[in-house]
Amino acid sequence: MKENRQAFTHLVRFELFRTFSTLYGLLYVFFGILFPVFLYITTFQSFSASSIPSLGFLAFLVPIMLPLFSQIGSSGTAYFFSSDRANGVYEYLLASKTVKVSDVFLSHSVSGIITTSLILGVNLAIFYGANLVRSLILPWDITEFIIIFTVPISYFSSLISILSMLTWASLTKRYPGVNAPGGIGTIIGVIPVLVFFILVNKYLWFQENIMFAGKIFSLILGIILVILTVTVIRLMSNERMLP
Amino acid sequence: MASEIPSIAADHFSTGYSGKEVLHDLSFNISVPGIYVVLGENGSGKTTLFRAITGLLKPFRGVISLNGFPIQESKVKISYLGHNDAIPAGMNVLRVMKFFASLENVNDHVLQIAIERFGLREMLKKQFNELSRGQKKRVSLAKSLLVPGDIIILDEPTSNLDPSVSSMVRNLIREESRDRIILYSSHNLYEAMDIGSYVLALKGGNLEYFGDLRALSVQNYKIGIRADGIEKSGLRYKTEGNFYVFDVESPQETSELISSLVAKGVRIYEVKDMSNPLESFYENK
Repeated sequence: MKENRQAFTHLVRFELFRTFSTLYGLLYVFFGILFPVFLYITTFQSFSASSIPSLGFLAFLVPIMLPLFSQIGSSGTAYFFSSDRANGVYEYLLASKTVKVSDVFLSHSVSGIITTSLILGVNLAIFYGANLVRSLILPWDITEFIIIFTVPISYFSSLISILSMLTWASLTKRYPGVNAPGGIGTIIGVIPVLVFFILVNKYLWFQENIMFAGKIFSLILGIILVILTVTVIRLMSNERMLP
Repeated sequence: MASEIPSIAADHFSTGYSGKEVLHDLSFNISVPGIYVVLGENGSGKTTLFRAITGLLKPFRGVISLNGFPIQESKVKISYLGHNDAIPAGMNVLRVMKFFASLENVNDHVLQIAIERFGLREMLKKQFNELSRGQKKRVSLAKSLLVPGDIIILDEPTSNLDPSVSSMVRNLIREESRDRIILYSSHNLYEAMDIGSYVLALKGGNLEYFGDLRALSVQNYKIGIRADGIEKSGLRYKTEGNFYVFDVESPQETSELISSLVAKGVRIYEVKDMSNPLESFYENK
């Protein structure tokens, strides 16, 4: 039991190390941070404190989109999962009884959460830091929205992405190109934020009730996450991670 | 060091993938340490048997026991080298070895011994994907044998390797065979006779033969050598395509032939069976 916990810890550390030290991992992290900075520059730069209340949903643009970038930034783990499985790494680890299937699944989820936390933390620090430097005092509404939408949706999107990837990998045998577990997971992970963005952009009701809509959206994604988690746990008993 | 004499027993065992049976009603009992060559052509079920013994595949019928216990309850340590190198992408060799050492919970001293033993020192800073096939195999083998298990499973460990690297890999494996059961798959009868003591011969998912490899009579067979400078060796040969073909009677004779050619300055690129000795093996057994 103790040995298994050690192996699990080593797996998480190794996945984080690869995310932040290899080209593929860093590329995702880089985009996860670069895009929000670009978005901030193109939207908030021209704002002034007095203009924010009249901006409507535009003032919420960065907080709405941040989960999407956090999810993309943490997608390196999906890439590594796909390549490790194809290279027979998991077959080896399971055959030699070094780790259990649940260790592989959990380690990806945990390293995804940690990466998401780091990227989200950096992005929020940049967002608040830049406003502070410019003496731009944000209305409480935006911070409240970040608490009820940006933070939970960032985690939910990342986890949904990772769990979709694991589910897809379990249900399919061959996965070239975009059909790869990593590709599927990333695509599914960005869908929720894009849907919310389109709804808010297109329908006035969502703009006028953005707080309520954000709460409902978080709740729905939370339920989807629970369903996916149950699915993955059930699939785990038969999963052998063969390449 | 192995803790006790290990054993593997299959009792009317059948398994496969997604409901499709690949191995049919296998029964055998391995209780003597040594190198057991699992011999069979491509698709005969060698990899499936290995995956079943490690517990990766569940039985459709029957049971496989390790040290008397069903696989899932067994505590036997298994070292495994599959078809793939099983090395995580994007890492240099040192990082790869440290990763597996941490998972196996071994200290730096053990890691350094493995690095020396498998000749990895020169390549530690290199990315794994930059290595030659022979170097990759050495890293992969070193990773699998960091802590050698009571049972060692090696799935075609010398496939696609040149003769000298194959010979080196086989020597490394021989060193591990004392007090351990080593299952070594091959579709090459010459290789089997060179390294093995016992054979499990599979054909179409059925166990065709299980017993002492030395007791087998094997007909003469042809060895093809792709090389430069063989014309000046003074030996008799025929040619087939790019290969110089020699008739040999035993694995030892093949080794002697290769040594003799190398001593005469012949540069060897590839050695392969030109006839299929496995077919005559199955016919004559």
